[in-house]
Amino acid sequence: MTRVAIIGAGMTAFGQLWEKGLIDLAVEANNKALEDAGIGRKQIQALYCGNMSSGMFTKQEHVSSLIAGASGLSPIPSTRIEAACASGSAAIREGFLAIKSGLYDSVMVVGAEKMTDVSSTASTRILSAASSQEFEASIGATFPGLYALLARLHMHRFGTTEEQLAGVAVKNHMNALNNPYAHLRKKISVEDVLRSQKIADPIKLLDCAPVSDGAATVILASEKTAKSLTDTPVWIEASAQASDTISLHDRDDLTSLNASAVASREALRQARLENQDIDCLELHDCFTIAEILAIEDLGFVGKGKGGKFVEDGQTEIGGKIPVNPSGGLKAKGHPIGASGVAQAVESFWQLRGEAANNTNPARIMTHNVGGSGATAVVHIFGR
Amino acid sequence: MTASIWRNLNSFYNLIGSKCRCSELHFPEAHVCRKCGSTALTEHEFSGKGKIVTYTIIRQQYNDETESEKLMIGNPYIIAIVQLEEGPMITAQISDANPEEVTMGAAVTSVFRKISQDGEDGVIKYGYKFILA
Repeated sequence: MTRVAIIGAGMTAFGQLWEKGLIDLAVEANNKALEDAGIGRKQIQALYCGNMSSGMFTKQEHVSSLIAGASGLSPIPSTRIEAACASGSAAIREGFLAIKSGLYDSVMVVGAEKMTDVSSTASTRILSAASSQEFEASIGATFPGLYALLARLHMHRFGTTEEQLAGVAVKNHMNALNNPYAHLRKKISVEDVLRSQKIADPIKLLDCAPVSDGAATVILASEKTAKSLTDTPVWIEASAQASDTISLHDRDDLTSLNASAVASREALRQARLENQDIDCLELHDCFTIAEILAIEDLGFVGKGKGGKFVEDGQTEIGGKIPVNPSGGLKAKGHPIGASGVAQAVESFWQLRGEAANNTNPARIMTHNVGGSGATAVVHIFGR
Repeated sequence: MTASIWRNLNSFYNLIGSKCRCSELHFPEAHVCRKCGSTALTEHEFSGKGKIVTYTIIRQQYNDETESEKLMIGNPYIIAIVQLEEGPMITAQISDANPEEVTMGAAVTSVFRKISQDGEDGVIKYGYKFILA
């Protein structure tokens, strides 16, 4: 089977982009990626679109063909992939599988979300659709609320502190300062996080990723096509996905997201690598507790030791394993369907030495979670 | 909305879940046993006694002005994951308590309460909440 490469990438700035609609965002990212790859529209054989909830955010469904048409790509097949906040990475995985199968030589994957046309209360409710409507959301469990349940138990069982959670936000805001695409380019302190508005105890406003608009695109190609177009392809060395029960209360262990652990182990197995072979992580920090859970679940630090690991600076650029040099979802922004693709775009730039905060990695792992852990997608990228 | 409430009355009104022939218990009712994969499940009513595994205090506004279905809650309100004494866990509101009274591991018991109302003259959804025992 052919290897699969990323040969071009592009993204919009993330933020509250009042002047741009979903299609404007997707087409902008697509055009940038096409130009970056030096590939013509006619060579793109299929389009995969990661998008969580265009219907509820903008009342527009069927955005797969809408984006293809607006991007000048019709009549190629275009499919929307939805896996809540992991929609973007799940879409990359579909593109990866399509090329791996031998059916296509080059495909485009776009992730896009337009979130700010509705009120913040409405966006909270829309995001809660990623949890169980019947047995979580309908009784008042918001998304920050679900992660707060995880956070309190982690603190209770392992002694993780609110200051350690805040440390994740401080570090990711620091990383985003240099990133021209980031939504929140503002230095913050631990005290700022602790003093910010309470959302769902122990989660405070600055523990949360923002509600953002944005889009990101990668172009995937078979080995033969990739080598004909570029001397510096970035290889997808592993693509793994796992699921779990949608409701937290149906899981055996609430101090871990099992789907993350399963997907990570499978990705490392596919790439024949160990944790120590990974130089950098772009992982799913929708809330600060999510980053601490992730570094544990992905196997980079022992269970319950994530808070201390962050406090000791081991996840900073220059630390043992840099985590979210882009600023992560927390500070780069979290346009739901775009986030997973944006992780791949950041990885592409890191591996080509073009990222804002270059960590000069040989291999990067990305980790994208849907909902409160009912989906996890892990990719490994290498030069 | 009416039919979607009616379909789940067993679970919401009477804390009825499922028992598998392998003896694994589920709440709400399950289609397939999570432990053995069997579909031979029968109704099982839970006692409503349990303990708080973890909890949070929700301080965001939950209902948008455009929504007709509104939760019958104050603000802030408490959401917990409760482990029932029979084993399964359940997500529920903790009612009749101030946030500072709630603790990890606290014993709770289920009560029958209004959950939400679909508009001023609409259907009222009833169901389980928990109070400190």
